[in-house]
Amino acid sequence: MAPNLLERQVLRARNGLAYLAGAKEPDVAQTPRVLVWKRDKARLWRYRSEERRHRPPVLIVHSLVSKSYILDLLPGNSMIAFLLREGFDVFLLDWVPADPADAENTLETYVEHYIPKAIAATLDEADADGVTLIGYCFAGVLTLLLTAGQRDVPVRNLVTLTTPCDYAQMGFMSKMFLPGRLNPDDVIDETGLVPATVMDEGFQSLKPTDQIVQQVNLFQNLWNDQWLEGYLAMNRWARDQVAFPGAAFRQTVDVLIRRNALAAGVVPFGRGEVRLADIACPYLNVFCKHDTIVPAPSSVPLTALVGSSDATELRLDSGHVGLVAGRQAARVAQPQIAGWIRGHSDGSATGAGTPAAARPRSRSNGRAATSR
Amino acid sequence: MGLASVPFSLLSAAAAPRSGPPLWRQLFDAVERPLATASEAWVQTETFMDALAVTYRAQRRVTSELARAVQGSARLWGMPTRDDVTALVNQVAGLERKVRELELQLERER
Repeated sequence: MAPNLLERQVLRARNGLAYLAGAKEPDVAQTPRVLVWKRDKARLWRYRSEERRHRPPVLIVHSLVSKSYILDLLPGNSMIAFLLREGFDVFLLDWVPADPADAENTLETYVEHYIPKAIAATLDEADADGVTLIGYCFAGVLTLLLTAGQRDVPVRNLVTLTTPCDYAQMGFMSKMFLPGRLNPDDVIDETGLVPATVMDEGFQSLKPTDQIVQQVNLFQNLWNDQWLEGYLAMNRWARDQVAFPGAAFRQTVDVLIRRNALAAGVVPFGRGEVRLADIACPYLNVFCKHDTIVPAPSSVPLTALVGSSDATELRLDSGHVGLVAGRQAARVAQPQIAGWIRGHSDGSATGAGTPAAARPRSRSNGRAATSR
Repeated sequence: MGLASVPFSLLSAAAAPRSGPPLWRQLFDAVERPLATASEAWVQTETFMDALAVTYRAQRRVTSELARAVQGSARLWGMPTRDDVTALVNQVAGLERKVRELELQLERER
């Protein structure tokens, strides 16, 4: 039963004091895991599970611009725990926040060096001959470049989550770096990194009143322990930005933003170029209608640009984070993503039937899921 | 008038959980929502982005000039400055990169 007004005031006072004293810090990323490989700032984790029913293993590559605990936020609100319950063998390629030693890392450093090595370590660890590769946000760009450019890397299925492609549709975040406005070196500091504060300011600028609204939401719901735990975890993540390697940022601005090369399908990369049309494995492009960080129109073209004959898009009725955390994620997004992966994995007989997302040219419940 | 003299029915009505947001929240939303819509649209305008780029560059220039002035006076007293620390940090970072390259070379030769 919901507490009455007086009880709420007491709870609000108690939680408010605990919050101000810092005693309410949520314990994030609790799903048990083992570190199976590391190189420089790259860390490959394997999550413990007694129910691995599907192969190949699922390797999630986390974005370079945020911390990975959003994927395993809290018990009951964890994409990784969901995938484990669904019977997948889940690995996570995570990055210790970049420091000056990483300032000269380019996109090639990640695409041609760290990620292929992490895939090799995953195959060894899981005794498998392929992986289902999931790239979250900017890591989606890295996984696309890898799958398109390195045909010998055994990516059996590719999933990108809220991944930008057409940077002309990215709005503020990319338009600030068009010629005549800011140059990459305007935001890169003396150690060669784009500081975390700059990343945070960029994200905050998209919703100028959001910080005030969050504080008002906090006051209104301070009495509710369950709400408070979720809020604190999510709010911590939203402000917990990481520095970005300067060399990779220069390349992002030059190639992806100013030349909009991903949208053209051909990206100058390494010593040559990478063509998205060379991606032949099954591909799932997941994006969100209410995403303000990577707007849906920026992600949409990917489905048509890859060369795979099994390319599916999943359009969700949520925001950027609502895809991986929150009620909407658990109810809608994660089951559909898991369903698509299960449909493209071995041992599928134990899973549910073909998910809506994998049905060719179908639309389900306002959440478009189309295949071509 | 003491609390004891307030009719019980009034107290329980005030204490009962309400459905929907409270009045103060409705008032806040009524002000905030149009403001949010307008400010989010304003952020995406060319004018705002041009102005922000100029302001950002100017702010960075002023900050670096100030830092230079402060560091100049710190040097007069023989004190290490932020630039000195940054130079050391970058040297250590350079060494770490060198070690990584050597590790890679060793790995390739094995």
